[in-house]
Amino acid sequence: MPEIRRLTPSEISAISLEVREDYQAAAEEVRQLGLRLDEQSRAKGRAAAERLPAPPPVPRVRQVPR
Amino acid sequence: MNPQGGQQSAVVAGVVATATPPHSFFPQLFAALVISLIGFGLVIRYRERIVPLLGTRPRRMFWEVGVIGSLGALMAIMLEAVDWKSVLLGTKGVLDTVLLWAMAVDLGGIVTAQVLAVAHADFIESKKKDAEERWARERARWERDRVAAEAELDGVREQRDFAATVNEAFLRVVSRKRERLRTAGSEAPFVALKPEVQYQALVSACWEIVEKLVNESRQREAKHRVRVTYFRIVGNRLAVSHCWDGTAGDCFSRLIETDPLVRARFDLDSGETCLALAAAKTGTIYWVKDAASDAKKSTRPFVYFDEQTERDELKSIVALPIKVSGDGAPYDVITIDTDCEEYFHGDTSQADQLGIVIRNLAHRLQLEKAVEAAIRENRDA
Repeated sequence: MPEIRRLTPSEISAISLEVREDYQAAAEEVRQLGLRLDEQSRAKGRAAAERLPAPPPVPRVRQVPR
Repeated sequence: MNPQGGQQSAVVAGVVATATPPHSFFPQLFAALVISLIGFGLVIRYRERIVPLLGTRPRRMFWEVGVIGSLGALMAIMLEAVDWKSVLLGTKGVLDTVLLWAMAVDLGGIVTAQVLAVAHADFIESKKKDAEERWARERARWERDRVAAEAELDGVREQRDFAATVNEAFLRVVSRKRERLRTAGSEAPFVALKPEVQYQALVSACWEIVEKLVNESRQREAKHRVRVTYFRIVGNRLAVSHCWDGTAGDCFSRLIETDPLVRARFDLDSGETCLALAAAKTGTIYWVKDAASDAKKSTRPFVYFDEQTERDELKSIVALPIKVSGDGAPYDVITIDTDCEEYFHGDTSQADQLGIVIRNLAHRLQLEKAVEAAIRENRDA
């Protein structure tokens, strides 16, 4: 085994707790960033959709009583 | 009826038949054609007004039955009462003949009008139906495309968020290390770089990420166990360096150290193998979707070290070699196992996700190995 110090269980727990806090903070930051980006891309999508030609209209044919 | 009276009546009726001999059949035919053409013309010109007058389908059917019945009755009367030979040869009175033909043509016109009206209605209806079906097909295709595009976009967004989270989580591990170094001060010895802490932090960060992947859909249910183990090449062996299952850092099987048969499976030269050793030697990712099934196959490298105790808690496992460009075999290896059945199936999406994790991890672990080597050299010096 490499010559590095073995960590004690309490040290491992402390390190893992730090990592967990960091991970949660990172995940929340990314979530907020993702929401902002999604909103921006949706706004772009909406703007693009407005420029698209309208879908074909429902055909208007004289109604014949049967 | 006498022929002279018939001629007068025909003139009054506007039919030009008096100039021709009474015995000719053609004036009557001409009159019939004129009347028919006028009838057809009127029906076609005013068909859109005539059609609605026909009413609904049941009414039209009654109407048809009535017309056909009347026509049948008239035909019967005509067959019975009319001297057809004299009519056709033109020997019958002109007025009688013309009236008979006019009556027949009028009735024919009525039936023709009805047929035209029905055909026109059917044509309009089928045209409308075709247009509606075409529109419905277009609409369904558009909707399918929209749903597929949305799903694809959601997948891309999910992947983007996952990659960003992995990067951010590992960057924060690096930031913690920078903070430790800052507080240690510039005069601190090399050993203050503490690679052992960083190894553990990186393994724990890997666990946080994969645990969320495994349990992301399990908000209220009991969560699955996830274990991340970092194996390193030490001499001619693969040895457990760090391990984390969310609660303990010594969560690996003790048999790796105590049982000679299991120990041999981690020896690069013994000829025995196990999943981690196979990944270390070949540099290939090994996906074990169903551990129990794989353990029975001699062609697969996965084995239980102690089936009795491991079978319930190890249902699926993956072994990922830590490869950085330029490295050669044997490689250090990360194994991730879980009690979630068939979790590590290795489809494209999962391979992409774990690929992002392992790329981040590999570079940072290699850095810590370099730090560790520097500490050793510094101490030896």
